[in-house]
Formats: sequence, C-alpha cells, structure tokens
Amino acid sequence: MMSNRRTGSKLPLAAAFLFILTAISASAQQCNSKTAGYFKQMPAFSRAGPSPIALAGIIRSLTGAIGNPARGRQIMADEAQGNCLACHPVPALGDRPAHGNLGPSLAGVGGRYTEPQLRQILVDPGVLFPETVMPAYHKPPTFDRIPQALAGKTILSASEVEDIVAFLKNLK
Amino acid sequence: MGRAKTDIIRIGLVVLFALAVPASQAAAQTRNAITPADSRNPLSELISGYEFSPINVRALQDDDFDNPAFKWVSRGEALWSKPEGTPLKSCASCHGERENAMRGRAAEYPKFSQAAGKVINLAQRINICRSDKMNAEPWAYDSQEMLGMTAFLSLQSRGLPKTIRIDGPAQSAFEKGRQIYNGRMGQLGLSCALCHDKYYGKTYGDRVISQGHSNGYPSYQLGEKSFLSLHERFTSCYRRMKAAPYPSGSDEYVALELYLAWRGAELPLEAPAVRR
Repeated sequence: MMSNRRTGSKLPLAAAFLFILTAISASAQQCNSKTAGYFKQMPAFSRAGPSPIALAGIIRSLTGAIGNPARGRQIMADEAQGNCLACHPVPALGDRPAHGNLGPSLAGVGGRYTEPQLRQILVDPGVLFPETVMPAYHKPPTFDRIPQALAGKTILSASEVEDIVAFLKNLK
Repeated sequence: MGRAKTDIIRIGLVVLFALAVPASQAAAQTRNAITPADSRNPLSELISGYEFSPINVRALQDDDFDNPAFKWVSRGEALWSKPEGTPLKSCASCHGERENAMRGRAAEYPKFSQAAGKVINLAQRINICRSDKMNAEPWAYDSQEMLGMTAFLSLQSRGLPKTIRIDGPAQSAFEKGRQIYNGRMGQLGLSCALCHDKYYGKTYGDRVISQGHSNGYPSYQLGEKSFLSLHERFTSCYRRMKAAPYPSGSDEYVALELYLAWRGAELPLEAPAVRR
C-alpha cells in the first residue's frame, strides 16, 4: 500500500516534467526555424549559442498588459529614452533624422523574432547575443562608474519596454 | 539654339552629378591608415580622427590661419615669455625663446616623473615647472592658460609619433589605463573598446565613430565651439555612456591617456586639431 501510494504521487509529477520539457523543446524548435537565418548573419553570434530556454524569450508581458505602439514609437525616437535610432536604421521611423548603423536594421524585425524574443532582446540582449554591444534596457546595471543618481535604475521601465515591443512586433 | 544650349547644360549637370556622387562616396571611404608597430595593439590599422571628420572640419584644420585652435596657440606663445613668480622668470628664461625650443617634448608624455613619483602628463609637467622652478601659482587643469600652453607645446611636436614608455615605472599606469579602456561602465554598460576598437567607421546617430585617438588633443570642437583638453573629451564620452566621469588630471585619466598614446603611437601628432 505504502509503496503504491508513493509511485502514485510521483506519476503526475513526472508527467508534468515531461510536458514542460516537450513544451520547451517545441517552442525552441519553432523559434529556431524562425531565427536560424538571422542568427547566421549575426557576426557577433558565436560559440555554443543560447540555450533553448533563452531562445524562447520572455513569454509574459512585463506589466501584464499589452503596450501602446504609438508611445513605443515615440520612446524609440527620443534621445533621452530609448535612443534606438542612434544605433539602428529604422525605416518605419523615416520621418526622424540621423539613424546610425552600429546595429542591424529593424526593418521587418517583427517577422524575424517572436514577441517573447523581442522582449528578451530589449530587457537583456546578451542572453541571446552574448557578444552584443547593445545595452540591457530593463536590467539593473552592475557596471563600474554608475552615477549615483542612476544607481539601481534601469534604462527603460517595464511599461516603456512593453510599448516598444508593441511597436516592433508589427514591423513585418 | 537657346533651347539646345540649355539642354546641353542640363545634360552636363546630370553627368557631373553622376560622376561627383560616387567620387565623393569613394573619398569618404578611403582613409589613410598606418600599421601599428606593436603586435599587441588591438588595432590592425591606425586611422587618425582627422580621416573620420567631415570635409569642412578637415578644411579648417588644414589651414593654420583658419584653425580656431590657433587662438590658444597664440595665448600659449605669449605666456611662454611672460615673467612670473619670484624671482621673475618665464619659460623662455630656461628653455629659450626659439619657437621650436621644445620640439619632441610633448610627444614623450604621459611619462614617469621622479619629482611626482608617478606617471604625469604634459599639463602636470608644466605645473611642476611653475611651482618648483618659477615659484609661480600652478594653473588649474583646464584653465585657458593651461590649454594655451599645452596647445603651444603640442604644436612643436607636430608630425612626430609618440615616444612614450610603457615599461618600468610606467607599467602599472599603462595596465590601469588598458583596464579602464576595456572595462564596461555606466548605466549603458559600454566601454571605450566596444565602440572605438570594434565599430569604428560605423555611425552613431549622424556621427561616424572614430578610433578614438589622442593625437589631435587638445583640440577645437567645432560643434561646441570650445577648446577641449583630452581629459575633458574623456568626460564627454563618459557622460554619453551614462558613466560617472573622473576629474580632469586624475590618475585614472592620465593612465587612460598613456594607454591611448601607446595604442596610437605611430600616428603623427596633429594637435591642436579641429574635431566635429
């Protein structure tokens, strides 16, 4: 009786574990096929590459809500906020001057990455691209020489990240 | 007849434009480069900031009469023979009146100084002279007098490569400078190396990223209409990285200055240059 009860309690646990594993590998494969081409052309991308879990990205909205794409557009162009144009050409923001070319073009970026991946890239792109120069926009900074006024502060807030995600996912 | 003439002019203009556009693009892409002598240099080619500057900035630097930085050279030249301290003495009292009395001296700095017990730069050497040899008040680091004197002395090493030493007593400062140069810092987590070793030639906003060499400093900044020491220029990069800058004249900035001098040692000095 005792031993039966034990295996009985383990079964659902094992089933749940298996289910999670298949779900992760399935989503990783899906992302793989979607992004494989893009990763290949990333010169900074190398070595073992990100784990399947990293490739899945951040699935849940950071605020629990859907962002506002019009506000996201504004934050991207604002030098004091996202300042995305300093490094990325963004044809969808063609009305704004001075697009840099330090990073890749964001034309069609919503077609190259899933929404969870876009969120991951904004929060901390190093998880997907270990050698990237792009800052982590929503991760408390741990580097040297952080000015006192910015200690512990992320570059963008959770809702600002969501606004940008809402804008980028529509760039197809 | 008149019509045919204007047509010819029109065609001529189109042809000229078609030739001029690719030519100007080609000119923007060919940059003079020098191969560094030291195999440990992270750069495989050394390209002066001049080569990354827009044509109007280069034109200003090409002509000493147009170069706004020469206002500071004149200031330095006047100070060179101005007697100060007790007893009254000028730089010229010891070093001579000749315009090229100090040829090659600026190229040696930063350098280990016995008197200071550490690596110092040209500005700090000038102040040692003022306090120890002239009994005069030292100049504030980024004062107009100091900027003038460093501009005047740097000009006398124009065209020369750097002759700094990174071994012996200068080694620890050099290593510290290398560390500062390569370390990620500030809220954005950037480093000097990320932009200036890896991504030079790319654009940040509407500016072309240079290799970040020091051979043009102190230099006149056309955008800000101000004459900046190398340390003030470091500070403006720190601010852009959202990092807390060090003070001008700090050991950290002198260490960084020494590392940069080594990294671009073979580039001819062109201070006081004009930068965008």
